[in-house]
Amino acid sequence: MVLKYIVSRLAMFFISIFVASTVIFFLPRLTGQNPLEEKFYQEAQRGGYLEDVDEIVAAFEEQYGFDKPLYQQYFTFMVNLTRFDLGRSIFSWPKTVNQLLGETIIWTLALSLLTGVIAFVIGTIMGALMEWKRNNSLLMVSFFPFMIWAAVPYFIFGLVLLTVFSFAWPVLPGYGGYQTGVVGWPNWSELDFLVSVVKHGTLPALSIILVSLAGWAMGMRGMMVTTKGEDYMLLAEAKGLPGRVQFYRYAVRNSTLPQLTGLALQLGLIVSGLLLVEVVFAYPGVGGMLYSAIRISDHAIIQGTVFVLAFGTALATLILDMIYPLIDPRIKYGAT
Amino acid sequence: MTTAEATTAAVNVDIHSENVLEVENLKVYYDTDAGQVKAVDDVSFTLKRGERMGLVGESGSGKTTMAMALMRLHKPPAIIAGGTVRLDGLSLLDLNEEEMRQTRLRDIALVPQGAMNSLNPVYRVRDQIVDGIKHHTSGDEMPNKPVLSERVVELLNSVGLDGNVADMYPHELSGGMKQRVALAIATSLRPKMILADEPTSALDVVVQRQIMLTLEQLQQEMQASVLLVGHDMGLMAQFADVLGVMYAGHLVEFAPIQEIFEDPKHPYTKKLISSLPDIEVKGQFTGIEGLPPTLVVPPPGCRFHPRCPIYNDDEDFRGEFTDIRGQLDTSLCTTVDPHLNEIEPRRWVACHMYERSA
Repeated sequence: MVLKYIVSRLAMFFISIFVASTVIFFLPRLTGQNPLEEKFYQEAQRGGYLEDVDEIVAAFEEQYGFDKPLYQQYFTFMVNLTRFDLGRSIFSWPKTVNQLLGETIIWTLALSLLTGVIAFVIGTIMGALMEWKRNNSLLMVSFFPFMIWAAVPYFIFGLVLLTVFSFAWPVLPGYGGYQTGVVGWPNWSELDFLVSVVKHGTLPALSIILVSLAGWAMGMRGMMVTTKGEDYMLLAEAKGLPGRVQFYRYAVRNSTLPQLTGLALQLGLIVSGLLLVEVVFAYPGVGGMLYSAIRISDHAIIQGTVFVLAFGTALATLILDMIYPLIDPRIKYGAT
Repeated sequence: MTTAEATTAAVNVDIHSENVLEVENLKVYYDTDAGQVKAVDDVSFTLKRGERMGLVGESGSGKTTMAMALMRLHKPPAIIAGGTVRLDGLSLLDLNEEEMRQTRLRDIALVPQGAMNSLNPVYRVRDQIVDGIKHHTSGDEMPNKPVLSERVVELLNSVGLDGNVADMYPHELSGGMKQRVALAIATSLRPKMILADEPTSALDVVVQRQIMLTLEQLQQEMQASVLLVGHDMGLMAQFADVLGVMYAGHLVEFAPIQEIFEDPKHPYTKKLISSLPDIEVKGQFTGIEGLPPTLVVPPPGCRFHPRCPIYNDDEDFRGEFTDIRGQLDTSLCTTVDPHLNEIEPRRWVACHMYERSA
């Protein structure tokens, strides 16, 4: 039973990765741009020397395998993916996409995990309290701004924070992931460096936390309204259970289930939202890299980055699927 | 017999000490934008120890609102606007929140409507029986796990369930089993009073019967009083000792069940009982014409008068009531709200028709 469940979820995991990879392979090619050709003609024009460009392009295309038929390129791409070989960057030659990701992903991962968890926990608690303690004016007052807040995109909010705390009232740095120009940095074992990282991370983190916190709070509040109307809530009160037991073990416990489903579904959105925040704050994460890769049509980096994001989202969903039956007994491992 | 003994004997037969539930002039209003809805208005009745009372009325007549208010489980915008509720002498409306919480389940327990969703879906049956017990027992009196476990099995057996149900989740149980679990929870602390709000409304008739038999058996074993809210007159006839009839927020008749079926006094009750299908007489069903009134602006005088066969001089009712109607000053019906009066021993009726003879 359990095995069947795990196998079926794993199959779904691999199918979604396969579909995502296919889309990732074809999407950049649909733009109809030939990045190598464009790049070299640009360079050649700049140097005023236009001879042999076609040959150079052809040589590079051969190097990258762009000269082969599309199906063959696709096949090679998929085979390489199984070894997590994401190929070589076109413009950051000779670095591989894996190397480039290795440099940037730690920043994105740290920022998204930290902000994701903080926003989810605080937002969920606030949403629950907003509905439960209806006579608390502070919580009631926060309802309206939260509603607007939850609808604001991260990066817009990031721009606002940047304007206020970095320019109008410059208390926090608004650019980069750490103080640049210091010899020997990044050095993760140095305290000053870590302090600098925290300082630089504050504004990007805040712009994500505050917005998604409001979203979680609204969602949780809505669920609490529904849960409060359930018959088991009436029985919980009729059983003479203390308020805190009704709150935690009955109301919150049941309202959190859809929140967790939402968390799995939102993971992709959080990450993609984060990408734009990284652009706004020139944060050294995957987002910034992806952004510039799209601008110069570096297919390899686009493919690699999007693949890693898709993989991460699928993996998180898989993990949640695996633990969901443990938190909701109505979902059985046996059912597919 | 010494004086002391005589006093004790006198106390024992004292009618008041027999009353488990005394409700006096209870008013439950809903504050709405359209105005104040008097969902329960001036309701008074008493219930003796071990007695089973049925409470019937149309949808919106205030029966569930009143039942919830008895346990102070009413939710805003409902407010208790006045009256007293005494459970075994304890004035429930004067208790603070914590005292009221302690009273629930221990002294007055609820068997909920809608058995399907009354149990928390994420916990096992065992946990849901135990948490009620746990939060009514102080730390040092708390029985240890094996004792508690035994108690859960006992309770489940007492409602006709197997002990292994304790380790099941609500979604693994049928509707009837869930309602049995609800009965086990309600009786876990042997309350003085069980409030059953349409406990069988979501169940088929066979399961209904089993549940009612189980409730009756538990009630007799514990000598608890029961207030059964519903609109199934057949169920009431089989289960209740006394019946209260509510109409538009008022208790319009309150009497022993046999008498109310044989000789209903209030015109509404008469219509209600004559509307019941008869297995021997095939033909047209007769209902009660009209709709229940809005409780924001109830009809002046008697709330039933717009639909009342007596007031409207309905032909079908003429023969039986010619005498009384001749004496009835019908202008009272449209101006004065009738009070619940005891016109014969234990026969309470709120109708102007009987005030003259009373």
